[in-house]
Amino acid sequence: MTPTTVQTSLAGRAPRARPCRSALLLLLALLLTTTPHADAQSGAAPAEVGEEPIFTVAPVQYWPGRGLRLEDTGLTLGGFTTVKAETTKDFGYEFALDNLNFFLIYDGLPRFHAVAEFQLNDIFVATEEETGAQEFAFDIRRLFGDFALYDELHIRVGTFLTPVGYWNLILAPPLTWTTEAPLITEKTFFQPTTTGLMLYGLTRVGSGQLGYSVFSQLLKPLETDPTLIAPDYTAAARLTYDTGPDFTLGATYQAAQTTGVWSQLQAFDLAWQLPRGEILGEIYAQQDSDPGSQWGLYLQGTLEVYGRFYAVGRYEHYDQPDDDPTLNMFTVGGVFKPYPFMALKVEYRFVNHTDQQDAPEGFFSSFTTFF
Amino acid sequence: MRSRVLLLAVALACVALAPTRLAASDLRLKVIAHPTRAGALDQAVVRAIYLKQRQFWGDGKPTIPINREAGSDVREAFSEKVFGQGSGRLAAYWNQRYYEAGEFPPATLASDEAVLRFVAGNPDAIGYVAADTDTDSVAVVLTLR
Repeated sequence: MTPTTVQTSLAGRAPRARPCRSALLLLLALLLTTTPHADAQSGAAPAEVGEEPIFTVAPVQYWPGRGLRLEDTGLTLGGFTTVKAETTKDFGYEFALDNLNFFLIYDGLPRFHAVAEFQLNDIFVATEEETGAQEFAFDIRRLFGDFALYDELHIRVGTFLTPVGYWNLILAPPLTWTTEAPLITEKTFFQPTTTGLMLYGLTRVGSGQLGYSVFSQLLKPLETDPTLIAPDYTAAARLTYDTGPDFTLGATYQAAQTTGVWSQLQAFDLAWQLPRGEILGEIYAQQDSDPGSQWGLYLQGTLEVYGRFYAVGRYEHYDQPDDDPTLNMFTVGGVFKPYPFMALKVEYRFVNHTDQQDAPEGFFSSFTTFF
Repeated sequence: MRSRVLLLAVALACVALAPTRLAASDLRLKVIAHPTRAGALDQAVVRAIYLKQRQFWGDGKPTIPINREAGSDVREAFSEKVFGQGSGRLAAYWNQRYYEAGEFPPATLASDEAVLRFVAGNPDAIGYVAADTDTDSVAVVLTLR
């Protein structure tokens, strides 16, 4: 084939080439569906899934992806980190050591455990304008105690992840398939953490588990992020139904009062694991007099392409309050997961309005791992 | 153009829905508990215990689920029969529980004999072994075919 015919073919101008391309696509699909490839994670070794320590210096054990455990004390020190590189249409390039978070976990008693998360943000950032740690921030992200009275009743007190939707419970980048989170999950509709009280539990219904949580923000948040406009009070309830780890459906309602103004939020979420893929979707709607009502959704599909390589695609719609433009975004990317707790991600996000600082169009990549 | 997009979508759907590998094995398993816990459990209860969704027995004592090591035939068979997926894919679930709530997956033991000994000696433990294992010292609460 000459270079000319290659170019013609790629431009789609040669009708005779179409059956050929269709046949190739079908062949590719057949190969991927029938090849007995190494299902890398199914046959993973214990250390690869964080179930066995890889070294022990008595009394400390290191479990990959699950931190250092101090034997017989119930104490674990773990965390995650992310390095990020992006180049966007209107805002140029950025390289960042984006975050370094540490967890301190106590699980030494059957009915009580506690979690603290400390966060170092923007440790090093290089952009076209500046290089350094100008926006460096240290925060106590979470600090809570969990008391298990029964399977049907647990009590959580402190600062914890706000269980609105699904994404907000997987905020750690090693758990997500894209460098950039869906826009609607980023502080737009609710704050990522709640400081107060939560009652929650599970009970069996049919072959699955019906879960509930009732939670309220009663105190000021620990986080000192100056951009955080935390509500004074919230009252919220969430119901979930799951049939094991493969299918979860959730619905949440939250009323929040911020500087004397009440808003209401409804959210629905779905997470469904297929044999070689995953579908995740959420929809949020909020009624608020200031800045106004808004709603948005995303639907994300992930596909195990081969072994530890995955393809991901996501559609997002965000109807902003006031006269701000309605955004439609499509993200397409790939992920390599050498271990379940580690990911190398690349993606491109298309946006119908490229001047939006919160959602620029461009190329994003990151390396992230639990340690 | 539309037909090609449709074709690509169909191809990707085929890949997503294709089974990851041949069914785990025809290995039959027995789920075992201490003799004081004798009484049948169904698969949904066993699944909830191993996902740490059900953390207490009826008498309020904590459940102690014991896994075989990831990658072993018995573990993979258990994982596929009870969760419908290999143990490696469950790592994503445990990563989430670890991050969100500071929860860890069940402890592992490296042989059926070790699981038998542990369960026989601990009234709150639950484990599983290959169906041809001698289980006189424990109670069989579920058979997985």
